[in-house]
Amino acid sequence: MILILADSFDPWATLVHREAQRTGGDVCWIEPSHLLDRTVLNWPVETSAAVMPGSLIVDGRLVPFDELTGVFSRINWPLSLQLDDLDPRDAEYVRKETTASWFALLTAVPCAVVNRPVPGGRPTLLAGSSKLRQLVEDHGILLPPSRSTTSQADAILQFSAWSERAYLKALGVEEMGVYLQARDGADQICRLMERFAVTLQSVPEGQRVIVYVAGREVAATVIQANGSSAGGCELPFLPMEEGLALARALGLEFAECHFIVTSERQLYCLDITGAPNYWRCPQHIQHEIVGRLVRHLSDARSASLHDSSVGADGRSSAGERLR
Amino acid sequence: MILLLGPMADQALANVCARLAARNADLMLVHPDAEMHDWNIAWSTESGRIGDRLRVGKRVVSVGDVTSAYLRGVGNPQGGTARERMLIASLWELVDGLPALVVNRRRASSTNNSKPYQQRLIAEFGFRVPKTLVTMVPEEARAFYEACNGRVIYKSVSAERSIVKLLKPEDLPRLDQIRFCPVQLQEMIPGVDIRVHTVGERLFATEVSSDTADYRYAGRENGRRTMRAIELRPELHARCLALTKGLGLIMSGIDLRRTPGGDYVCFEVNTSPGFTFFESYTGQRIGDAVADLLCKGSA
Repeated sequence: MILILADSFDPWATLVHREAQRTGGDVCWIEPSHLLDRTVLNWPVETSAAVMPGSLIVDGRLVPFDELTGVFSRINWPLSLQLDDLDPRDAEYVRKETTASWFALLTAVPCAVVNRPVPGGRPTLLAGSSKLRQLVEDHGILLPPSRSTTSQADAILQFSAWSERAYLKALGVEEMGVYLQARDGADQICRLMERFAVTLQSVPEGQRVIVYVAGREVAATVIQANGSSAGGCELPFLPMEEGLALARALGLEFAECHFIVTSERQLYCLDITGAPNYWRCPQHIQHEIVGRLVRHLSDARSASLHDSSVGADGRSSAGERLR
Repeated sequence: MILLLGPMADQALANVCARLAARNADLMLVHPDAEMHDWNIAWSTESGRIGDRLRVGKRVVSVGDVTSAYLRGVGNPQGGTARERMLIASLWELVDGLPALVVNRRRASSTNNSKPYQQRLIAEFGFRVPKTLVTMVPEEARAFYEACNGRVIYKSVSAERSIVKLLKPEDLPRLDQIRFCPVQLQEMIPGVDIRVHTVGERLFATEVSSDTADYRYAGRENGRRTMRAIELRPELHARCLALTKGLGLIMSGIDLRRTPGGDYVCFEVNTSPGFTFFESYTGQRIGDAVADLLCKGSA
């Protein structure tokens, strides 16, 4: 069974659900806010058993964990649950306990989980972790200058200093950022900074390329100056391998990576996220991605923890992703 | 310079601050609460590395001067007002990228937000862990209780502070409530508690004898509690240090229990231990070890 954990309006989940049904797959979609209403969790947390014991009851149907072939998780951690009838302190306790249980479960189930959560979340900036920075450097990828700030005035000053060409992203948020334009860049900074601290990155001259990772496969699109995808554009190379390597290093099986390829064949990475933006993804790539995701989530794998822990299904050691 | 991040009302932070002050260390206290509205934080990166200047509050600091940072009770980027969330998210992002000793970094600090998640990590380092069930099924909870011969405790799944309690026969009818929230049950391990604090390569083990399921609340439950400093055998000593390092931590508080048969069972690893409770009972100089480590600037 493929388990989809996503809000009802999630476009990627909608397409994955539809494609899984079309191809005859056993698929179940649960909104994260309804996890407590629709599922019953029972998990003996065995660390040495060959096959992971335990099960979910989903809408009354028993689903042993080893019958899951994949989980498509679009959960924003911590979970938002519908607990309006509870006292606020009780609701907070239930939310934390359910979040902790599902977090652990999604890191443990021996099937593809797209994407597995990591403790503390992933860093906003590739430069924000020495391990990632090293990996970026090892692949010959450059990181543009950045400025992170809680001050609107500081952000606007930096935007101006970079000739009003910058990539803006909220700190501590997984969603992709936006490329700022001279005409409304300052307004966009102010709007975002009503809620978030931000990081700005200088955008080097060159061709924008977006690489999408789905399972172990990649697709790329070249972006024109107006933001639309370009066809037949000549590039020194497409950074497909680099995108896949970065995604794997972050434990991402579904990812969107933003690169700039300069005329001197230099490669800059501005961003990588496990929450690809559906609306900015060209339609033909959407279909490719969804097909690949469904194949990835449908593959029956060895349910043995001993097999999966060496990475046959992408489930690397939980500790590996901590360092 | 040493950055101390968190509220000074925190006992562990205040303890370390006092020890550092006694060493005449160059300190900077970073907590935005007091001057929230005119408090800003900003830094730049060049070629993926934090640049020379770091603005924290009203001060501009040279990043090269920051040798270490100690965080306690910095907060949760999901809670509070937008401004609080903004500042806390920034602090976590900043310390993650600091080219300095950070006690402890965010990802490693977050492993005990989910105890079953951390338990799997602990087992990877060769520690025995208690038989555990996370469940919403009352019948399964009862079966676990029977399988453990009625020797079962319950405690929170998350990092939410909870009192570890024995599941008693009179609690069994209440198990129907777990249909609405997962509960964590564990086999009761008999024996003596040992809290191990690791600070870099140093280790402080405290043996705690108590007749209550959760020694922290022995006083509240009219129970008995005695504590004394002990030495661990070398193999266990090394395994505790390896576990701390393996979790990506510089400092930890490891909860062990020594069974009557001499086995050691690991319950969890506290990633931001409130060590002053143990220090005040035993005289172990844990705060001094933290201060020494921060002054040294490397683990």
